[in-house]
Amino acid sequence: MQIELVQLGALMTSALLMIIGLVAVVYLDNILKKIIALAFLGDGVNLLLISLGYKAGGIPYILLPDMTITSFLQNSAYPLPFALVLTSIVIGASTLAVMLGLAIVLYKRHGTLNSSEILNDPRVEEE
Amino acid sequence: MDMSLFIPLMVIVPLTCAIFLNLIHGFDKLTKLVSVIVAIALPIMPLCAAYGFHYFGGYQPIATNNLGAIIPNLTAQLAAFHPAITYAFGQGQQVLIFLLGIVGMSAVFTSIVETKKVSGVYLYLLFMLTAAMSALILTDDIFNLYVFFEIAALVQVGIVLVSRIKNNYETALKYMILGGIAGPFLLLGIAFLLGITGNVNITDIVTVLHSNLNNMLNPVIYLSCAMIIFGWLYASGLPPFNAIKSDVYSKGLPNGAMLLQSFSVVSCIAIGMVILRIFGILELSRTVILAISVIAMILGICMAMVQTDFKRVIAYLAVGELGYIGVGIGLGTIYSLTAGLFQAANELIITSFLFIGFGTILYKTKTSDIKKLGGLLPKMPFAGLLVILAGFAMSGVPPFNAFQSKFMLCQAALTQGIPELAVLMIILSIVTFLAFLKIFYMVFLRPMPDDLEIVENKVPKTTIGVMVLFLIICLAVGIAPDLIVGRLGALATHVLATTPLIPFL
Amino acid sequence: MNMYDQFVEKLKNTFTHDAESGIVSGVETSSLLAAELVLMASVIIAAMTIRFVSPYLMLIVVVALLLLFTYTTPLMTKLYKEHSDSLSNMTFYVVMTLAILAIIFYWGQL
Repeated sequence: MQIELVQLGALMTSALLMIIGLVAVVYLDNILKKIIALAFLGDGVNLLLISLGYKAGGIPYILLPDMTITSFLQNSAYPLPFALVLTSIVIGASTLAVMLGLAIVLYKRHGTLNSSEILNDPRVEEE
Repeated sequence: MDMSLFIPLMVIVPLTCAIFLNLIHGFDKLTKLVSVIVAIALPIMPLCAAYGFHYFGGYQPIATNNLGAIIPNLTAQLAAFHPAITYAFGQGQQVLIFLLGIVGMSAVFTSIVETKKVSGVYLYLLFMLTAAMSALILTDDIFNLYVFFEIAALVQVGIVLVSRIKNNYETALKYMILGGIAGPFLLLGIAFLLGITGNVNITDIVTVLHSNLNNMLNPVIYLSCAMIIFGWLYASGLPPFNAIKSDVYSKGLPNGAMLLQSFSVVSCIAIGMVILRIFGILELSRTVILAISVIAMILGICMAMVQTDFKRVIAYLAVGELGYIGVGIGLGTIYSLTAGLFQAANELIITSFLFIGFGTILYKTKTSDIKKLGGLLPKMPFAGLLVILAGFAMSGVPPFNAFQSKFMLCQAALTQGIPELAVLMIILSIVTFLAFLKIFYMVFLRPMPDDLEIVENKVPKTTIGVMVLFLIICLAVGIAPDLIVGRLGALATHVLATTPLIPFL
Repeated sequence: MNMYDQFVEKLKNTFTHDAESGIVSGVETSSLLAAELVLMASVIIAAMTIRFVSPYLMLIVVVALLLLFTYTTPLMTKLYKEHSDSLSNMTFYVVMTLAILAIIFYWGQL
């Protein structure tokens, strides 16, 4: 199976995005930065998913009246990944919205966005 | 009337009801009426549905309709592929969704009677989670599984947020951050499977992968297995996610915690069966599942012994019991998978029973710290009796149902030639009993502390009725396990259709 | 101080806020002791499944575990501290598990 250069570039970019996201969510202290890092992680996976459907010189998956079925099947890009990625982007957006809402409430309660102060062990806080 | 219409209705009805209840939040009587009617319908629908498949959009495999004539180069294998999202409903799914319906119905009823003002938003969350769980059991499409799993994760966060327990917002954000790490990796595993096989229908993936054995030794398939197992760990609350899951259970109201735990059990078996079907021929995957399940059993039950909040004790015990289910899946034979599914079905009922039972204590005293409780048996003798029976049920004392499933699991481990697993399961059942007796003593038997005040006087009759229903189910299944074991065995046989095995070493 | 008093001292350090005046009740001490013994027994029994890989490796691992448990009791206090709810702790174990899974499955296909 031949891999296109565009696909290779997309796969490397998605790997880079995932690594940056994972490292940032572990190392960074600010809650907003952690949330952005999770968005990076999700975007990396979405990029990998959509790059599976790439076809060099492909046409969109719509059967127009002037096409024969054979030429349509040979030239069209694979439609399944784009449907999956659309759903995944929507899920990512709703998760992001809920996390940002939670960050707002926690900022109002604690006055800070440092995860080491807010998201630490509550057993210690009971003193 | 075509009874296979009920197959998608088992997901669509609670989903639509959830959205409708959210809209009519504020109109108390209408909310109560609608939620009670749909809650009663939840366990009835799987009993009415006919076995079979449902193809969304009506797109059946080409082999069953006559579109094959116009598509060139169509082989028999391609013609059997599923072009649409498929829901499969058999005997095993019927049992599991029926028990889920009972749990969902009980959660809705207890939520209506235990709060002064009915909340349409909270009922929306409960129904949405029930719909997501039914979809996880029915679906034959791996991406549909992922979508409902993410929906359920958001709904779980909602259930934690409405409880108004101290530190619930922090717990919710921690859960979402960890889910934000695990969810994309599960999607990555699905993406690799899509890349290798070109399909998201699980039956088609299995057909493609098992027909060319050389393909299975592809490193991408192994990595896909690793990522899907990682997502399975998050969904079920197995280590390393057991700490956050038990935190989430303890921050929900008892009826919400019931459904949260049920979701963990359902996703454990749903995603576990997917892993077995696709990657079961790789012995490495089953070894890893077994290892993680053993760690879950040991960690869960040892940590349950040292907690001071009874909700956390039940939460950790529930994680330990998930380890038993994982052992059933990891052993990989039809008998062990049947035992694992039977243990899961029992878990659904028993943990819900325990959460509701201890929820009555929370209802009466508004505290869940066992150091502050005591002497409650004279105040609530019938509820106390039901709670101790629930504890007996969880520990595997006959004649309750968990004894039958744990016995089957031990037999499966011995048949496979791993007696250490059987010994471990028996020891940990004894320690479960010990942990449970400790909290029962601290809450009910020892003298009441002077500063404990009883806030509410009477436990609602509906709650007691729900507990008695659970007790009857536990006893019935314990005395006559063939009621459900045969049906679950049919599901296990379908999952583990004979395939050649690739050994680990 | 005998072993039991040393054990209770360590429990007070972990489970109460003030080690000098804190009280650990009898129920808590006994349940912690029970959890400790169960943990040790379970881990050693689980380690015996290594016999499928190599019986000699199993022998070495079981003896090492026995020595480890003799010199590092009480383990439950350490496990309780490690099992905390702080995000940094949980994220560490999550990422470790991801790495271990990826490594096991990468080498499994060789």
